[in-house]
Amino acid sequence: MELDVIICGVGGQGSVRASHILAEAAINAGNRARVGETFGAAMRGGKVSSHVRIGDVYGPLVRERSADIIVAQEPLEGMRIGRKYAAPDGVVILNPPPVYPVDVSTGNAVYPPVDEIEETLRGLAGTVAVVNGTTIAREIGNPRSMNIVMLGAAYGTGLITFDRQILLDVIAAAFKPKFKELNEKAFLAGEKAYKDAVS
Amino acid sequence: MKKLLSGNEAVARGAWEAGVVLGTGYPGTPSSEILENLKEYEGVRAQWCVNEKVALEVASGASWAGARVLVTMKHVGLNVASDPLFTLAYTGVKGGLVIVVADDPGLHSSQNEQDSRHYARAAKLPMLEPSDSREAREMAKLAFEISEEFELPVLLRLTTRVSHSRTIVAPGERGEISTPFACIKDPKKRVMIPAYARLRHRVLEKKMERLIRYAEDAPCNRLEEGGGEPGIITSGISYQYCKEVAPDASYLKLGMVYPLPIGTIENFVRSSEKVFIVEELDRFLETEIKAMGMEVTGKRPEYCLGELNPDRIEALLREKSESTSSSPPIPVRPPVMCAGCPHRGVFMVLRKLKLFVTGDIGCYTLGTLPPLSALDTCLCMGAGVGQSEGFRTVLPAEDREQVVAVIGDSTFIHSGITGLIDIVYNGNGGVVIILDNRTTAMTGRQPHPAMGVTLRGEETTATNLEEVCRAVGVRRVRVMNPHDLQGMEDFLKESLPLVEPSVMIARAPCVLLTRGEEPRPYRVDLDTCVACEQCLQTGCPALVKLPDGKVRIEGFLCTGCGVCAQVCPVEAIGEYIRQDEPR
Repeated sequence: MELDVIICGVGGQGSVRASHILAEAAINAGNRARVGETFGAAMRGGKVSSHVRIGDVYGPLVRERSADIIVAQEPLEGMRIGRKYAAPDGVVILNPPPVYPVDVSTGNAVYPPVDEIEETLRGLAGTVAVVNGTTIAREIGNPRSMNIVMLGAAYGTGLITFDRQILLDVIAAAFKPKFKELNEKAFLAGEKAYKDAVS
Repeated sequence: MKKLLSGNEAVARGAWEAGVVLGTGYPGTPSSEILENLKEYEGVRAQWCVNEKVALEVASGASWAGARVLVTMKHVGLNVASDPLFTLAYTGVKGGLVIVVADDPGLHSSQNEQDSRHYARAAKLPMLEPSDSREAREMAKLAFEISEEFELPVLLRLTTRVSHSRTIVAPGERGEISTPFACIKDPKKRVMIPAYARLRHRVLEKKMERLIRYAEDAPCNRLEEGGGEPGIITSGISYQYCKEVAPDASYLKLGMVYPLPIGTIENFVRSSEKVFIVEELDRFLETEIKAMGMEVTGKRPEYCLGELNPDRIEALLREKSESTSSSPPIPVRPPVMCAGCPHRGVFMVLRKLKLFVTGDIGCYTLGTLPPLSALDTCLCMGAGVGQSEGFRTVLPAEDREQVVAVIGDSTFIHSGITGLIDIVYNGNGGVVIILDNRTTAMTGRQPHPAMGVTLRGEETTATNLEEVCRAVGVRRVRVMNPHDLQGMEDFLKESLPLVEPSVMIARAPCVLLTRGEEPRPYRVDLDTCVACEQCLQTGCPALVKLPDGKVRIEGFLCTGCGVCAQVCPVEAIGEYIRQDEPR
């Protein structure tokens, strides 16, 4: 399979971790894969994006206007990445709770309304699905599993064609055993939420 | 078993397979993870050194004893290590010595985007450059072979995009290590007095001639004759981008970027109608190849700036300017000091006193951004200390007391101590603030000598910062709590007019070190809050402005440092005490 995925968000949301999981699963399923991470000096609270390229590709970066899936763990970052990378027939999955940059919380900049962000992205990508990973993860009982919910939503697109179990195995190995069941729940809930969102 | 490794992990793996017994370096993005990975392997000692110069000196000693050594640093770190570097080219090495230098095109986390390839030419040393993790492992191993064959240090150049990208690597086994290591007296090779150094310079020039011949058949230089046009000479990450946008072109892919294989290049240029040189940052290959008298096409000046990517290279190959599309601006998200960061209180005081603050590199460089806007210089590691002396030396006496230097704890040890000695020796007073957060925070919380713990987590003797300051002649040394704004203000007001130097050590651990400890969040009493926004001037990410101008504190972010409560003029902010708790 050939697929370009970008997972973006704010430092601490687990974007890089999720991208490693997806790439490793793709390799276990017999594909080639590369990951390009951009986190710069972001210790905490800075913007993060990680490019996962599955298939016989060369560079670690997705080309402009050609991301098949953008997993936006934060809306403003979804807008930032979506404006540059969303493919006209691509999918953007948006986790709506905003994380305000300091300029916004101090009143020096205005955070665009989330429904406007959604609208802008609809003009750029074929499909925009709002999946509230934050709420779903909290309901499941582990707020930190938001990135796994969103990964499940990405799987819900049907564009990741290898078996779900391969991803679940990599997820299970990536965290402590006590989180296995919770993460599996999170993944499946994300997958269902995506399907509900686009139906 | 194939693995998905980052470029940095692959270098560590390759070095270990090559039989490295020692790894030295100083943390610096994007190179830091190399030693952090190397330490996980058996039979190798990985250690953070005081700075890059010391790291290279330690490495040269181990190499002269016969051991294979890896040294890691970021591009600007090589500037610090350049003194031993140039003469190490004369002396040569015994055990293989490979210096990894990680450049940062695009300045993801650096103060400049210098191109370290110039060091290879300037110091007359071979340099290899991988384009992905597979090559990073292979070239790390090859670099050790070249180093021992030519008895020269070898530079291995990475860029952020190679260091921080993951591709598939097939790891191998660890090779034989030739022991024992020993002290062998050989002053004509190891003592660079002019009489011996003159001879060694001659030897070095001969080695370069041999290296140029080696480059013609070097296994890391690769000809890919697609038969198509154009011909492209490229290296590093640019190769991957080119393959993506011009899959049918013919390629001369250089893994060894210095010295260059003249004959190979000549043949390649002759066999193509048109040959492009595609490289990130400076026109290094272009200049070298044009100096050989060959007709090749380089790039427009704009492509010397920032990172390349497939879209830029597509335009570059069309010999076009870049198209600049502009979408409406959206709020930026720069990295910020964390909620509870011990630097915040210090900068609040410096801003209040309207001081001119000389600084350098660390999380505290963020103190220059609004709303703190309290850091006025950042040149290089350690610079703020000497700069404060320079300002005070030439300023009229009445203006001197507005100058103060700030420096982090790890940075102070890296290159601040010498500046402080100079203030004692030549200066006329002044205050140096050591922002001691008990770690090397910005690069990912690496330990340093004042912490009393090594990279491998072993306990060791801790350098005592206050004793160092006293020992170099500073009598006024005060350790302060950086969350105590009034205390710091008082000490500064008292110290700045003095003709004797003072050091204020603002000591509290980085909040990322104390994560997990029970936080005691504060809250705003909205009935008392007058919406004056004073607290928002701390730039703390835990504070959120409400539509009516009043402020709410995000309980899950607040660490209870109390800085916002100290600036609140109406005492609306206090520790949150649950109703069910006895007071």
